Amino acid sequence: MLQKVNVFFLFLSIFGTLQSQKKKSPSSEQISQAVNLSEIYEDDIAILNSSQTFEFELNRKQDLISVLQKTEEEIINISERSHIKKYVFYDKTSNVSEFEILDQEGKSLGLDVSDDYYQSDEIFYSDARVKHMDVIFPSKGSVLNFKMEKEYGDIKYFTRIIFQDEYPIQNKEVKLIVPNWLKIEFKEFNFGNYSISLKKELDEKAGTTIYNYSIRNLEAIKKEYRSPGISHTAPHVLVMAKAYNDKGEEKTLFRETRDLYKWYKSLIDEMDESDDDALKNVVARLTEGMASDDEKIKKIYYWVQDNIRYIAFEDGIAGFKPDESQNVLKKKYGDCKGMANLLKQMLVIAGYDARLTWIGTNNIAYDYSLPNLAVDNHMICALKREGEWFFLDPTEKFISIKDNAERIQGRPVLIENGKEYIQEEVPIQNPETNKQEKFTRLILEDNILKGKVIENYTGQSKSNFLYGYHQIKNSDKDIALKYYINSGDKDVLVGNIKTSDLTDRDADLSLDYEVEFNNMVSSFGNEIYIDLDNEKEFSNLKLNERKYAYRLPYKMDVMSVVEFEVPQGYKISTLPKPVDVSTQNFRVHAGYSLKGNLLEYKKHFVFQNSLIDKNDFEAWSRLSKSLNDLYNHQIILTAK
Amino acid sequence: MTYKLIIPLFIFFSFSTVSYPQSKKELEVQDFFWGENDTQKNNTQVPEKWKNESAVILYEEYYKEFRRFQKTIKITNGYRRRIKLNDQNAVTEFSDFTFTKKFLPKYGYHTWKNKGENTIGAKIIKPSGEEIIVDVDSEAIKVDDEYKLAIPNLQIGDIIDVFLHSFSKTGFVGVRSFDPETRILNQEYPIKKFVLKIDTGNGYFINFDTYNGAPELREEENEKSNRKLYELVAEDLEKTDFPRWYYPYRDLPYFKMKVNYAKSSALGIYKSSITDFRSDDAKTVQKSVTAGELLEFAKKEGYQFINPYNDEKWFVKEFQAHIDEKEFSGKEIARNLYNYIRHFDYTQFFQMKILKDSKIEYDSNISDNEKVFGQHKPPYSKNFQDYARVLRANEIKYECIVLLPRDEGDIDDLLYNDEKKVLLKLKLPNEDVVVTDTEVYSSFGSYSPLFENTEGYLLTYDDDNTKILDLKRVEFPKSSYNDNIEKEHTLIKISDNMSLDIKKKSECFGHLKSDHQDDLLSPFDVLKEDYDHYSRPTYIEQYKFKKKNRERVMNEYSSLEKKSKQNWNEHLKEKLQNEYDTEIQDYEYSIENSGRYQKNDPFVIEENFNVIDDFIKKAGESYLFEIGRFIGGQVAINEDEKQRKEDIYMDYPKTYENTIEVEIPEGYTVQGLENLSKNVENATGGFVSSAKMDGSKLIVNTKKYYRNYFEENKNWSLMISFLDAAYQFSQEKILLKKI
Repeated sequence: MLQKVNVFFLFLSIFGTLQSQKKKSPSSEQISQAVNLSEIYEDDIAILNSSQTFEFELNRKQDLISVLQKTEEEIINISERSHIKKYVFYDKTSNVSEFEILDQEGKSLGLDVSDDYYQSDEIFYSDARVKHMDVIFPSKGSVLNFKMEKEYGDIKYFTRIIFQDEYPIQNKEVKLIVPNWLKIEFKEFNFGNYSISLKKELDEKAGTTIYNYSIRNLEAIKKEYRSPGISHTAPHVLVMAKAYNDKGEEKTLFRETRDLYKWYKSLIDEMDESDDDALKNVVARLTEGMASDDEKIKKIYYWVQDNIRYIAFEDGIAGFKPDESQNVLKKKYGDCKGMANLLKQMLVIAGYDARLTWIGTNNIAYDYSLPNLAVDNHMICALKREGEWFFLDPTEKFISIKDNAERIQGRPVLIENGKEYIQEEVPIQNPETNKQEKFTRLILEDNILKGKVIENYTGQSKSNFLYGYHQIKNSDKDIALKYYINSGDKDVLVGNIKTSDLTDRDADLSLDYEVEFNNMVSSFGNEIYIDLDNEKEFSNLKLNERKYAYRLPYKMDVMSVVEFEVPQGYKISTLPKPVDVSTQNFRVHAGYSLKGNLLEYKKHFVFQNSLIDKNDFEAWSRLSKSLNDLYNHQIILTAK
Repeated sequence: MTYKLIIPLFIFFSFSTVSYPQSKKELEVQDFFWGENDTQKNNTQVPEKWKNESAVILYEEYYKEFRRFQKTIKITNGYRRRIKLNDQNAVTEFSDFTFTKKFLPKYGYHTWKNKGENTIGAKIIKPSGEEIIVDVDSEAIKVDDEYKLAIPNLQIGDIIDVFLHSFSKTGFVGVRSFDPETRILNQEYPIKKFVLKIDTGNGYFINFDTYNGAPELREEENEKSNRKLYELVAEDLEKTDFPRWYYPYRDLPYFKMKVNYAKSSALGIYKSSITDFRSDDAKTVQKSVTAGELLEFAKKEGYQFINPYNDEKWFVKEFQAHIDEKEFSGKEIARNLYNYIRHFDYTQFFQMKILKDSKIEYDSNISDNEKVFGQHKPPYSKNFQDYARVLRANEIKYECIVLLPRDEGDIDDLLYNDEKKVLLKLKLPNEDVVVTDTEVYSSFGSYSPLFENTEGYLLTYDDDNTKILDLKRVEFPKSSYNDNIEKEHTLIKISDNMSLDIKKKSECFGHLKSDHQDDLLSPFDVLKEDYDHYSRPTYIEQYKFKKKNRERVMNEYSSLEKKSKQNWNEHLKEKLQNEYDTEIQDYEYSIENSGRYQKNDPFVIEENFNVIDDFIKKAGESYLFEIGRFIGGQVAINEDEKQRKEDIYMDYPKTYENTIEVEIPEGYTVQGLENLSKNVENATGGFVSSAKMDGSKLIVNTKKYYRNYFEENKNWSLMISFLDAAYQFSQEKILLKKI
């Protein structure tokens, strides 16, 4: 019982190492302001006023420019009671000197501040740390102030300023006080219809230019499943510190992409790749007896995919510098940079032209026209053969050399090339390359639908399947395969499953099995009602209430054909209207056709882009309605 | 039961460790596990039958050592696992883990200086036989107080051999009691060989036994007169997946242990300080507890429920005000006293606790009263003792029951004090009523279903209920499926656009009442109800706030209550959505009866909501109506589960009754009622349903019941037959035929 009661208290979110806050009830004006705001926003709290100031200072000792950020916020509770966490991230290149909550008189509440490493499932180790504190707003209209100071030790890590917050903001001022000795540009993103204005002022006396962004009525950032990265959605400015003048001498920072590359290159040049005996042995063993280049390259690429565990490290400069290949080989694990480097070195040893390649995945909205460290977040290996570039990402599992993962397709890349760099783009593949097909032939026997199914998978539909399959315990694989087919539905009996070679990532994948569907048929009088669809693809994909675009796992091409033999002595009187929708981004057909005694139920979904944009939502919503109407429609067999 | 899983949870991903590079100590520990005397050096082969397993534990060892040195006991816990990794899943599972370098010992007072220290080691044995010792100190990364280690060079086909050596010290005064430990031998992976080693000396009283066919603990010969060595060895342990309706402690081999230390010179003086069953002589392992031992223990440990430090008079007076002996029978007095104890010792502090935890108000006068949500330490809590006192004052006789919860074994399996449960059996004029310690939702005469259908011991008292007379073995009563009932009455209106307007009333009795109270009744509801029931001012009303502060406190408390109600409404809505596997709208609920004051009062909740675009499918001009889904999600036994090998263990017999009334819209007739008639009844339970039209109203009745607490595996097919019938009903549809 103790636990049960405590569950309730946790549910209220009122436990925690909170300290007492100063006791003062909100004024009637504050309460009425909170009531008004609660009609506009769904959130628990709102930021009434926010001000951020950024100042720049030259640190001659270290030859670095530091950036001092000062933030102040006035926060109001617009729900009955709120318990929030205020937090700020920092890492080895930055520090947080002030982080506190104050009452309306400006007196610190002295709340406990925790300071921990940031940990997530995706990253094994990161130097990112987070200071955080629990803040309670005890009643509607409660107002508290937040104050924070953070210093970036090196301007190159101060990459952008995001205007939005996880709470709505009424008024926000972002002030950048740029000294005349600093050459800096601010590139605006996603300002769209937001109320954001920029005022630029020269302060001749101080020798500065002040950039003042004023923002009004900014909605909160919303967490949505499968949304694009924040750089695609949130209004923000990318900071490009180009150069600075120190006592008459101009020093370059990231003036252009070649400066960015130069810094990246300096890091990879520090790697010691001389001890490559172990690599040579592995390459020789792997490629022994192979004559074809294709086979050798594949063998090495797949070996790295299969034998090196991906473990993400983000640790200061090591977050940008690849681990040496012999270390990765020895440890059998590495992050993307380490894995890309190992693959590159192995391919080079095998006699191929392989290069390290920087890339920003499709989570990032920028390209290499912008010299900024936020432009990329990943490293792969580029291979040049017969004048053509191929892109190999060893962090992907069970992906064929013919395919590129969706996250890197169409993305610009920076390929190492001595002192210069080569800029290319990862080719975009058609949805057809990821085809997923299902052919079902059914008959009706004793109110049960019985038949055979063949499923085919190519491209990323195949690599996704294989990755999932090989993650499962050997002893559970048979059960898991059955579960994959029937989604754990007791009414779908699956037997006699045959698969293609599930260790072969190059060949198309196929599943072939027998199936019985219970409870898909209902008989009333001389009529039989049949539901031929136990999949109902995309029926739950509801987008109309989303704030952001929806990212599919890849450009999908999903087809299903069910052929049903109408039993003798029965006829089908009416069939529901088919669904046919075609937009620039997706194409959907679903419908029935009767050919003799064979009823064909065909569905085909093709998504030209993996992103269903907000502009498509209305079309998707209409489609979804008619699709679900079709799915809900029963086929009626009437005795002749 | 959570403490019983200490060892399994301790494995791998949460343990603490320390190792000073190349230190003598580290090398000693390494040598202890992997040195010349390592018997497992050549243990590399997986039995043929386990070749397809993801991983096979070739060897698992737990080592426990207790050494006393003057006023300190040094405790060493060793753990080793040698695992063959057969697939990618196993490599992923065993390839990284987190540990800390120091830990706070469990026993005694500790400062940073005398924290426990541990050592970890890992080595990989390649299929070629090459052994690679992982340099833990250089590989591990510090993350706050923890270290994270990714095991390098680990591949499918390798063996990983890991050890943890944990060392701590504790002071003691005469005696020291150590936490009990329990381990089910079969685990997620098959185990080729399992070994438990216990190394103690003089003065350690060991309670230890094995169950369900687990091998016995053997005493090992050793030359030192001051050492006692014990060993348990089990081999060829198949994996287990802990199926549904299963009490592993009643079926799988396991051991239980508890160690108490008493200094020989202190044994006489501190005899009563070991609050546990123990053998007369530390040389003998205590394997069970006899009736005589239990009787002696009860007498010694205060099962007379007398509080020598409290003035009984004011206390009894406080309670007498809430009963009127002239009007009530003995039973009602006992019940009213019980309910008042629940309020007096428990719910009256809710508001105080809420004020404190929500940071609305806290000062030294608002103490964190341990009675509230407090530590109900065995054998009974203070409010249990309070209850006995007021019963005596009203000359209501009682006896005391001691038992083990059914899922933990029989009373014959009792081994140490902490695991037993204590209840009172009231000897009322016309009947006996059993009560447990008061809790938020406990009712007079209700108790955990796990206490039913099991044997225990009954302590009898003299006429004053102050002296224990005797102890005898008794069978604890069973409840029937007619006692534990949930009745649901669902009224459905179908609108013109085929959306559904639903009103549902649920009444729950017996153990199903307790389950629903736990799930659906918020402490705010309970709080208000109790203050109203006893016409007492609330804590806030009683407390002497300054005027301005009182306003603030009331305002903030009211905000908290409103927010809580919003959240609770959402919580109940989500539960209902899960029950029907659909989205619901316009959800509202009201608690019609909390069922907290009378055992036979049901818990009653009414819920109103709408469903749009579900349950109804178009079929030409007619509609298919998935009416079967209104009995809620049913157990679906798939083909694999049908092959179950284990017996079936359930908490209690129970019945679910449903009445579903549907107003059929004008212009439609109903077809397919015959599909809604099911009748499967057998020795294990049943599912019976019927449907009829009453004018324009369709009335469906269903009843599903589980007869027993336990079924042998041979009855599994009988259970499946009624479970399948209920499942099939949930899939049934009727046709709303357009006229």
